[in-house]
Amino acid sequence: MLEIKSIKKAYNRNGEKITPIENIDLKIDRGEFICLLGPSGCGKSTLLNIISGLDNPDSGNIYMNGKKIKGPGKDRIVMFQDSGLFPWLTVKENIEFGLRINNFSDTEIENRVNKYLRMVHLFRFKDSYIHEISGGMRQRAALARALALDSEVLLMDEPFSALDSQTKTLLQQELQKIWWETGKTVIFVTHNVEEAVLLGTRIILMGTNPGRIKREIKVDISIPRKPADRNVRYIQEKIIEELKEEVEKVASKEFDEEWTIEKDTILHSPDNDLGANI
Amino acid sequence: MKKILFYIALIMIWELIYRLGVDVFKIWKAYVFPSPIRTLKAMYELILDKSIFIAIFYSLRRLFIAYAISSIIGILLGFIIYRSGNLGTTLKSLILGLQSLPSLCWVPFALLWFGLGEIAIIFIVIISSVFSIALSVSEAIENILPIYIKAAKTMGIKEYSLKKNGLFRKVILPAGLPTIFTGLKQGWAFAWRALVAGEMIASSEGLGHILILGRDFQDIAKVAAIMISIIFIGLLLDKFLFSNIEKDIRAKWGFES
Repeated sequence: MLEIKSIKKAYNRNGEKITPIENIDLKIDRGEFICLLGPSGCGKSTLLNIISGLDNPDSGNIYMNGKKIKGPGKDRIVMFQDSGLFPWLTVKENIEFGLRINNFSDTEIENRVNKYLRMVHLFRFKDSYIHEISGGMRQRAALARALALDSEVLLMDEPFSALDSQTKTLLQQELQKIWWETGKTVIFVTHNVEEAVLLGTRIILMGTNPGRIKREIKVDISIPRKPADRNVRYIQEKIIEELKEEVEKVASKEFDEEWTIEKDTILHSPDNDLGANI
Repeated sequence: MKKILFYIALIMIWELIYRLGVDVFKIWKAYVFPSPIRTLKAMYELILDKSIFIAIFYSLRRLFIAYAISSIIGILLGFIIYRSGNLGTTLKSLILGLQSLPSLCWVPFALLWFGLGEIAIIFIVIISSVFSIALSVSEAIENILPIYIKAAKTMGIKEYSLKKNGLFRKVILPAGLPTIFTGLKQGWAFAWRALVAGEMIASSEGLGHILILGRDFQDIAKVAAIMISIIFIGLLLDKFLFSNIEKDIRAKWGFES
């Protein structure tokens, strides 16, 4: 239902050509949970922004249910990493924002808001202001806000990356449940391999500068998936192997040119491997 | 308690300076330098013949009408700057220039266009405050966090409408409220000053007017009495109109704990 055709995007920064997206073609079916996985700067957020309509490609088009996408819209709602909730509204008012600006009836708004407040377990805090609740609660509120408009597609840009690991695990479990119950099509951007394998039905491994799809990995494990699940762990290990090359590329840009994982990660000393791995 | 003691001490020093200056050293004449007691007496007279209340009524009525109009025009101007892209930047620099013109410079215009009367004063007050408000709206728009706009866009908001559910009224105005509020406060300060100044030159009632009357009758105590009333009313209005609202805004946004 989503067709991404020949998307390209490049720009110049300080005289250097940066290509967040070299040429991407991708087809996404209804109900899939797609994870865009890759190290920082590999264009996965750029791709998500283009799908959402907040950014425009240099060339190429995206079709949703056959129609070309022209800009942002409530059929492709985005959930951001830093919630993007409005500080002048309460939790409840934030969640109903999308419904209000689209002129839903008061009863419909009431029903939906209560449903999603309960779904993310924030009913007790519906009249709190954003600065009064914790980071995990804010992301839950942001999730409820994104769900309230019942969009076909849900775009999530590293929504749990800024959270502590306990809250993250909790929200990952809740997201699996919500996705299963609502049947939405989700496109989830993350740099965390464990998260991608835990949540996704299909993982799009992306390479960095130039940004492109390196590999697609289908994850057929049944849900709900727990982090300690053997199958989950197996696929995670395989992907981490794949990503090694990409991580080294990014690190050599940021750290120094001859950085390799074997030589330069901490706790390594030349005595450990007697020179065998270099 | 400390505040009251401070003011009592201040008044006693004032009385001392008066006694020394007028009676002992004879530096100033009695009709040039006011004493606390004579000022109090003048105040009492003003209250007795109710002239001060009439003046306050006229002054405040003009002020509120002019300020209300000024706020609405200011916000609309801010919206126009936002919607006009490049033209908006030019408009902004024009407004910055106009804002630096002291309010008194507008008095000749006002008198020639409207003659002596209510409308002239209201015009002077509006023209003195509207630009601060417009500029603060424009600044609020520029400094709004982009993520709010992005979030609203993905929920299907209408970007360029002035209607109730449009981006401007639903996101930009509330998000910019702290900045806009600062502009409204500044506009109020300019309005208040323009009001008294304008009344001194161009009106036949109001606080500024009786201030000038005091000068005409060489009644320095009356002048001092009215100056103190102006300060007092200004402070009262500031407190009731702005301080409470400001506290609410700051609490809601989380600036106060």
